[in-house]
Amino acid sequence: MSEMARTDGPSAAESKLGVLRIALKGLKYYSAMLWPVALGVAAATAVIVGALLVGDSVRGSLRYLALDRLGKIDHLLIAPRFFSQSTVGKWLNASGYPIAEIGAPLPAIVFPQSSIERARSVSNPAFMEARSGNALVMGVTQEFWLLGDSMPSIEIGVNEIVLNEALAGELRVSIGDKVTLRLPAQSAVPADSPLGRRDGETVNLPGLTIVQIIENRSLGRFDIRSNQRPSKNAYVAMETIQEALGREGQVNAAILPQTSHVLLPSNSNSRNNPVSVARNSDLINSLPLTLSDMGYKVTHVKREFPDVNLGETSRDPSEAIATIFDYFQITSDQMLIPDKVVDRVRELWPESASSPVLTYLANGIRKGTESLDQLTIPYSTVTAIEPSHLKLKSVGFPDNSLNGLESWKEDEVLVNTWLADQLNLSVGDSLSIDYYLPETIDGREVEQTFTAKIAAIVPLSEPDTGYRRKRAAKFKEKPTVFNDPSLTPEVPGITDQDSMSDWDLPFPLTRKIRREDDDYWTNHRLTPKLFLPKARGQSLFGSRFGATSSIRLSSEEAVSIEEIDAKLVDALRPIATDLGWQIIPLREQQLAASRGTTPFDVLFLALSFFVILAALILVSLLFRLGIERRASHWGLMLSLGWPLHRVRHLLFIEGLCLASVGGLLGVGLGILYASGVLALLHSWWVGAVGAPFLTFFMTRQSLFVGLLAGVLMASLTIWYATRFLAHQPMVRLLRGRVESPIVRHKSSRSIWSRLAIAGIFLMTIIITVAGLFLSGQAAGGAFVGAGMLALVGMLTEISNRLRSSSGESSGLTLMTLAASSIRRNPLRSVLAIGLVSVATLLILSMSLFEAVPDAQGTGGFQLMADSSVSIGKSLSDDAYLKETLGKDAAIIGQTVIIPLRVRDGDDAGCNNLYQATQPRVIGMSTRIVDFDQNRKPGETFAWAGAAAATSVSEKESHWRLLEREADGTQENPFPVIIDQNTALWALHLTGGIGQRFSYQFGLTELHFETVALLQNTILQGSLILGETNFTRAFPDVNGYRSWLVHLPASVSSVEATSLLESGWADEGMDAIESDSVLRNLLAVQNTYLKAFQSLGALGLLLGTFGLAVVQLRSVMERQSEFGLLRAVGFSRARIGRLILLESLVLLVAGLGVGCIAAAIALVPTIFHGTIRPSFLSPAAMLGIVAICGILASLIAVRRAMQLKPLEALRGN
Amino acid sequence: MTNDDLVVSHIVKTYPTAREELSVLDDLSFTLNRGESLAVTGPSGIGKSTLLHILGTLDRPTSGTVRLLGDDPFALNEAGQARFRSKHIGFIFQDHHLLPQLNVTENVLLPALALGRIEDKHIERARDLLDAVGLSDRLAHLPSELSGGERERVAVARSMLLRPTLILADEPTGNLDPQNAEKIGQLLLDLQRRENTLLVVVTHSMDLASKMSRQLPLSKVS
Repeated sequence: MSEMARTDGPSAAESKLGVLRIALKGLKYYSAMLWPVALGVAAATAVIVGALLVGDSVRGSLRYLALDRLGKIDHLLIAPRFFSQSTVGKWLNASGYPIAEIGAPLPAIVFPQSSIERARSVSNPAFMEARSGNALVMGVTQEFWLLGDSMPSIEIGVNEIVLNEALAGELRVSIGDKVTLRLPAQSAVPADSPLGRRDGETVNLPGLTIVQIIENRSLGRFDIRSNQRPSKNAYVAMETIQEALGREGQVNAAILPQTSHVLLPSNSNSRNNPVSVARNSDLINSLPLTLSDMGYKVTHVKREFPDVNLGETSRDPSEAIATIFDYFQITSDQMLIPDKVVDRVRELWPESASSPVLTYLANGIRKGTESLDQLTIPYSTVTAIEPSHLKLKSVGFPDNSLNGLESWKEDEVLVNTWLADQLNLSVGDSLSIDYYLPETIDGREVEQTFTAKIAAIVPLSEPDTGYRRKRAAKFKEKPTVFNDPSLTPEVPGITDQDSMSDWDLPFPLTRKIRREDDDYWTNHRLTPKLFLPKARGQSLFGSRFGATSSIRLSSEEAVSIEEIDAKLVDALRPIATDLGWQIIPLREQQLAASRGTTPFDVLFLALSFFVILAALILVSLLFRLGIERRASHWGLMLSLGWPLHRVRHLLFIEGLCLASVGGLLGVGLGILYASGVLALLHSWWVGAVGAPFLTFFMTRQSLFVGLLAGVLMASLTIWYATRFLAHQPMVRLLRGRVESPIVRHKSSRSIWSRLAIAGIFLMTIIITVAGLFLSGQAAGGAFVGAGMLALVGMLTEISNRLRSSSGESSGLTLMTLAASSIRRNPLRSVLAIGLVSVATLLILSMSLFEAVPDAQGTGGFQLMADSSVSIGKSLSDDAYLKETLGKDAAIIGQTVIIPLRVRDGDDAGCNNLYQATQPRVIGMSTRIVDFDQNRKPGETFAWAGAAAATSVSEKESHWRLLEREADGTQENPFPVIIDQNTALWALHLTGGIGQRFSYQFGLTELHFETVALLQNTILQGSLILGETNFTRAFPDVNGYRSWLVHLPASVSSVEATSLLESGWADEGMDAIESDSVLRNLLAVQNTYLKAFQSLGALGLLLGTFGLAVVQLRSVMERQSEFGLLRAVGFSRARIGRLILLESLVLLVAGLGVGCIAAAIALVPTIFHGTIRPSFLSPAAMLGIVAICGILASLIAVRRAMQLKPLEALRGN
Repeated sequence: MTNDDLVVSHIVKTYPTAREELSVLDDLSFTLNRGESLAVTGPSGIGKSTLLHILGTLDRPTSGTVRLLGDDPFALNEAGQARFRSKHIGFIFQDHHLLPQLNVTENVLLPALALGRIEDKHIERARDLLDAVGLSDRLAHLPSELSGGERERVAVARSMLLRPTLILADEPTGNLDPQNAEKIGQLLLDLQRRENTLLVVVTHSMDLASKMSRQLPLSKVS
């Protein structure tokens, strides 16, 4: 521009001269000095944006994964039993089916947990057996694949199987190999009842050929549960499974696809979404279940004499055909009818027309109450009926023999004439009846005895010819109402046998069976020999599975089987969910779960707190340096009449501009930072997320929030940094000098300042002591709080000491010279110390927190075993062990095995990133108390806290707290023990001991109360109930599926693993060393720590940068001082040593403050024994901090040594 | 109560040190009226600049009062003092204190911004003053493009922008060669007469001091 043009005058520009313009001009002019401020803001913003984007990416990836693995599948119907495939076909046309939302249902067979194994190769012995005990097996039709986009290229034929990569990888198989599938058999009788099969029945499908291995994507990783790890899936043609199970035309599930109308996930974050529950209830109500689908049967029980169909003839040929009994009967193929069904039935028919009956097996009946030497009648059925129904027509036993019986007392029984004859019984005699408790205890049948008096002897006619396999007994003498074997429900393996000795029972028949007893079986089958009042019968024989074996309906009230069937179906469909029919809203559930257990953004933000703080300190420091450098400008403005607020306003605008530029830069850096973190989570830190599934997701919201937070925090910091101007004398500012006023007399230190420091240290002590009694997030808060307060307290004290120091010394040395330089600008020195101490605190704390597996984590159990099917028997039972393991039984017999019941659910361990919407529940056996009592302290599970004991037994062990009687209602919640990590991070139960919460299981909402918290144990991921409460909560769950195994020194874990896995191979037993389980769980925690140590390293970078800046600035300000020193004979090296000394003092002070703050913050954790500090790693970390600090100082040293004496003297 | 424009009564200024209070000004009193100019002289460290800072309300006296046109600025709060400085005081510093990022005109206009927006009258006034100090051809130049004498003249123009009652000059010719010092001294006096202000100059230069209507030599406090 020409001189003339300039002279024309900048009128337009001048008229625009304002604070903003001056600020912008200042920024431009001093850009070289100010850009580091923007970099500091960029660092803070990048950390925030990065953390938010990591959160976005984890959530986005989880959501993507959920949608991908479901394809078009929306809901899944899981039935408690096999039912007719045609019912699924009819569902679409049933009224109430939401066709607008959900497409045509597809029948399927689903086994969520099955065992699959590759056989050992005969030709190649090196090719060892491999097994997966938790495969998801699906019997599907070809239509299933249309719901996703990972369809096998060929149709799965009979005896063929398709595996996904995850399962194929675990089994180490390839196409063409053969595998054996072991599916859990559906037991007719619950395994926990004495008549139930308890040894884990399976149906094997051997020799299935692998025809394809599909990718772990789309339906190739279909899963009922939410987990980022691909589930191990096997797909078989539905017909193959139906044929193997003998369930032709039956399925146990239905897949409900979504239509074009996509069901949006609920926004509700509650565990129990009432809208969803209601919708699923409606959906299941529309399922056109038949009575047979639900496992109930109505029969017409009618006995005429003589029965022409049987070819019966009476002794008296003139005798007319008479009806002996005539009623309808409802029975269940599960032997017992649940109370809810009984209640429904009794609502349909009048009280007098429906009579629930309970028939049970008496192991022995003998006369008298004491002598065991008496003749005992073995294995008889006894029937409990309602006393008021006894003489009723149709549902009762109208017989002349009862005429004299006016009332039937609780302890009285009726016996039939056969029994009376055998035992020589008369009315009034006493009887002893042996029976098994209706539920096994610890997998064992427990026999009990009750006594009763005979109230009446009822007649029983003897047949002319007995029963044959497919023919009823024929009578010549008129049978009586008591000649009714239908009172006992059909039990496969018993009622269909010709002889008692052929009975196929889960327990051995130990009592002697006489010829007369077998004759009774031949003539009467399971006709009850004894009758007792219903109330007593149900109290003795009733269980969680029910207290009714059949319901008799009067033929006078009911007309036909069809009518009863129709009425019953209508009554039972609305309670289908209570009967175990479940609609799982897979899409909604998995999308809700994809919000994740761990809010990664919050977690990274929380642990980046110190880094952000370090960045803000740096921003404050750098900006302040910029202000100080231009101190004379501010002095000038003030002297020209600018009000202070206007000067600060000008500075704030500068700062805001810098913060905005830095913030924008930070957004870009944040994206890079998040990408870097994700790359690390894919590789080095994969332990934190379990599987490399993360992809980068970014939301505008995160970018905006991150930018805003960064700029806002930086602006506030900058505004705060300008505050000091108010305390600066204008004259000093005009001279271009800003120094903290030094209060020369120690005595003049403000009492308020002393009080403030005392207050800070008092608060630190209070928080540290409080930390001793806190757990979970509160303890985390105490850790951060105590650390920060200790840091602030010490820095304030240092600041005060620097300000109050008289500067007097006994002599002038290089050290005193360095000390005087540090005192020259106390605030700057304190900020530099603060930066180093923050980095030290962070790095040190994280390295101390590293967790190591120990005996308290495994509870003293070397092995954890799981099976794919339930085993009802006790693995500690010698007879059972011998039966299963033969001569090796003695080895397992030496072990201590604690059985656990398992109600499948979401893994709420830290290995699963999805939020557990329905966590897995385990039922802990009380045997763990005895086990713990025989262990030394420190060798049992570690506790993080427990509720106060209210009884002597509860004082004995925290496990006893689980025995508190409860019913799972809001008023009386189930006591539950949870691992602290599971409670905090997965279930977000931050309330600690005493917290109440609920989860929806099907339509039932169960309430829980935390009574104790375990600490870093292998029991992570589940809610732990006491066994009794567990069976109350989940009556349908039978047997045990998980075991904790303690091995004596004489048994190796390899040996025990081999025996357990081979002995219970059919049940899919899989044993794993507890140490390895714990190490895997702790790996997650330790990986997080590594990640946060890296954040500490970032803080360190900022700290050393700050230190370097402070020292450089100091060197630049003191040029003339160094010039003088050179002039009086100081060598370059000596000046270098002086600067280095100053840096080292600041560095050592920073390290010291950081170490002390970390030690104070960690007191509660060390006291609790949560961590056992290892000092090697922290020492190494401190070494790194020190080296970085020294390197940073060397920059300033180099600069000082480069100064030329004359120029330095001039201050150029 | 006198009718003098500037009344300085019994000013005392002490500074705390590690051992004792350091007394700089002790019971200093004088008055000054419009049209008068005062040269404050004395050896270094005697308190000349301290007096100037107190007169300009940049520093506060330990005791004593200062009244300008009858007002006591030290009775005002911080914002009031800023307004007072803006309205009544014009500063000229030895090292001129120009903001390097602003051009000549903008530097002169800086005091106006203390009141709020720059108005046309301020721009006209600035141009007028810059013309008066001989810098009309340097309006858009940055301070780094000016000589020492020119920078001092910009500072003089800036001090006059808001027609202050009192101009305070701290060694205005201290960094200048005799020729330039002569010119600046004369310029100051010309402008003082033109604007009819009070002028207080702190100087070691006997030449400059002799040009002022009154002299106030400060001597060491006993």
